[in-house]
Amino acid sequence: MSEQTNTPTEEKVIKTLEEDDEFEDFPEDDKWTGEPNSHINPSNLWEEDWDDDDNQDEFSKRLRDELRASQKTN
Amino acid sequence: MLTLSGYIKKIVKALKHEDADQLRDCLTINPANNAGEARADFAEPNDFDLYPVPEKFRPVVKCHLKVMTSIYKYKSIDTAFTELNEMNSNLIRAAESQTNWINSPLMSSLSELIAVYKVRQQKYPEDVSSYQFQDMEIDSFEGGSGNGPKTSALEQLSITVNKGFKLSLNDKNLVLSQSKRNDIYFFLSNLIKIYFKMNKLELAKSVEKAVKGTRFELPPMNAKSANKKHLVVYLYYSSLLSLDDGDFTAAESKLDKAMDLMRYYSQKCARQTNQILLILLPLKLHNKNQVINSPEFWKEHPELQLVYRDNLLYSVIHGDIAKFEDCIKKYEVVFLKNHLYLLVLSLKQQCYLRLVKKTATIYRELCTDPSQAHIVPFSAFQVAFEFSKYGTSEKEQDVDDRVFGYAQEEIECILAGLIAKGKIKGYLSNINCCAVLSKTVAFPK
Repeated sequence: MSEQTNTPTEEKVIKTLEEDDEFEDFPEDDKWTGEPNSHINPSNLWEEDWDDDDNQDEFSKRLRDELRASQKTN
Repeated sequence: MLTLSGYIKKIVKALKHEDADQLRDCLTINPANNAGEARADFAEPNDFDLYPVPEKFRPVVKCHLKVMTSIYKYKSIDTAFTELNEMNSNLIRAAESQTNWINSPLMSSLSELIAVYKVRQQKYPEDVSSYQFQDMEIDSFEGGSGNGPKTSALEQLSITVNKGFKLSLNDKNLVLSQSKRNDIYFFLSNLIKIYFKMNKLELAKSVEKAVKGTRFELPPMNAKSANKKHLVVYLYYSSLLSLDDGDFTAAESKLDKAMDLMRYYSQKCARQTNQILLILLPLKLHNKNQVINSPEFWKEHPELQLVYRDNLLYSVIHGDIAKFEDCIKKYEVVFLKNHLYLLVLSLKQQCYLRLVKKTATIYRELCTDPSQAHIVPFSAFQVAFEFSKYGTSEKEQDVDDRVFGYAQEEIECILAGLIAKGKIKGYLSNINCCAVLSKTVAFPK
């Protein structure tokens, strides 16, 4: 498939991530609580079923066309 | 009016009463009531001046006053770092004779040393990669100066922090709350981070091994609020070591713990969470086929959205080989710097699996004879792989006449690998050039 060129946003993100090779220090005056906060809940974050079975996305449609075309010529 | 004798009296009192706050104020580079400039003007104390100070703390006092002179009088960050490093080294030596009340001023002083190192590094940047760090064994660190090869400031820092780490880890007091081990995670996290900066990963591993191998009790992970931030740093770097070892399960487990600790951090969308998830996202996909589907999450983490949701995850989930390879190329340095390259490369097999599954499903839809729908010719996979990697073919070209970038043998090899790993249920028929898939569950979860 065609090779993509990077958008300015991508370039910016890549540059940030490439330069960012050290774990950020926590500020000295940071606040740690005794009770867990609700804004991060790892148990609800991850989804087990990531399968994309409907095959209705653009990539699948084009793949279907490709396979159908190859069947016709067979 | 602040005088040398008044300052010495304060130190003696702090040591006598084991007053951590007072000692911290006596040794900080930024003391209360603008005492820094006054201390910088003190004359160098002689033996008579220092007589009331316990012997082991005398070099600490001398060094502290030199640090203050470097900072407040000569404004020399370079000398300040050297003197402060020396002071910390002396303080660690003196701390051997004390109980764990000394931990607090010691950690405070080491934190200041690290902060001064960073300022020094900004002013006089050292190219860490240009240094030939001496062959340092964890148990043979002695001094950073001397007649040996030139020692970088980072190496000097590592030697001092390592001394603090050993002081803490080797405290034999069996009662944890009274032991210097109670603050082990402070020393551990700082030391492992410095070793990563020096690219001395074997030393980072030695430190981890020393902690795991200790026969003494260490603080539990959720005991002290102050420990949590140090644990997060340690777990992050430790997971990178596991990634390098190819132990993806251990790496995931460490980052799960780090994420759990981040729940106690008050700041929402912290940069540190982003850094942990940068590693954890591909690990979860690799180990457990897990992803994040929450649109709010991706909105809050635009960098992760770009790298993963829009590129890596998209390509793996859709079986888009071209996009996968483009993503590897685009983020090569990011993946390499974050110890992710091997992990991400191993996701290619999942990308293949998704493509094979998609192809089998579409082939079944198109097949006119439902009883034969589970038998997929290799040529169908060849067409799919070709499309996924190189894009649309010239239409109306007979499959038998096409020249594929993927040879049939290569397709067979990929399918055989997936069958052998239990990702596909079925078998390959080389004579009939087809894959015979299970009629019930061809692609087990």
